[in-house]
Amino acid sequence: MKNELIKVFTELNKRVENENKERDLRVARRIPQTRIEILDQTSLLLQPELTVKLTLAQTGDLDAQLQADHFVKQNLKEILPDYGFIYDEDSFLIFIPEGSHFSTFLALAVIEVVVIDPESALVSKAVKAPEKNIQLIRQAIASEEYPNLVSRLVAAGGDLKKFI
Amino acid sequence: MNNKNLIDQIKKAALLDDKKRKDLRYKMAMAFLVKKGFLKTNINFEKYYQARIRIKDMIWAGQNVEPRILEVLPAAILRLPKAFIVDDIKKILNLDCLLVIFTDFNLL
Repeated sequence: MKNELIKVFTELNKRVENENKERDLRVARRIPQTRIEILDQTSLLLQPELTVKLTLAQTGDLDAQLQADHFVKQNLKEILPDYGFIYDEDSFLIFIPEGSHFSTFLALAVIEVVVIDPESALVSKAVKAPEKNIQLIRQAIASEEYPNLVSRLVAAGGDLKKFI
Repeated sequence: MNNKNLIDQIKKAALLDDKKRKDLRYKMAMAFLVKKGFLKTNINFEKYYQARIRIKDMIWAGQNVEPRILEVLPAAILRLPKAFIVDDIKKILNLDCLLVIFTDFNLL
């Protein structure tokens, strides 16, 4: 999955660079630097070294918030199906809990792809979709790999009783 | 009930979840759906892959372990109807989404 997404974003970066070259010739406005924040289940699967004790499954949805020009979003949506993904249009609704931090997944010429830390992704899922993620959250709590998961979950309005 | 008691109960439930994840029905469902491109996972289920699979096992795995199995099951049935063994139709038809697929596409 990691390799597939690297290919997706590399191709996207190439398309944006080509578009910018054409725009330079037309003296048109260039596409500005793009930041893509990978969230939710995708972020967990992209960090295997930090999620080794979790059993993860994901549909083809790419969960990512884009701070991007329309051209970038459109091209991303075109490229993704070739690699078995679909952009989740509801990604903007994903809850990013307080204290989340992002690390760089890919830093390309015009696109920076960052990924949310696993503990924050788990807090988000526990608060916003506890039923769908009940076993995942139980597994994460039992693993004791995420020291602030319970306190952050409660602070963000989650209910521990939902995971009994 | 304080948080410590809740966490203890969650850990007990997690042990039961572990047992369910060892069930062959779950492993076969995941192997099938990953192989066919409907799901991605961080676990290698390859050796549990079978070309044909019982729908009732898929439903068990979706209801008891991984709900995303139920999310993609209708699409899998539509795309690969011959890969599914339908041997307990009454149980399956309790799921509205599958009933619609089976009737609309004359798979009954």
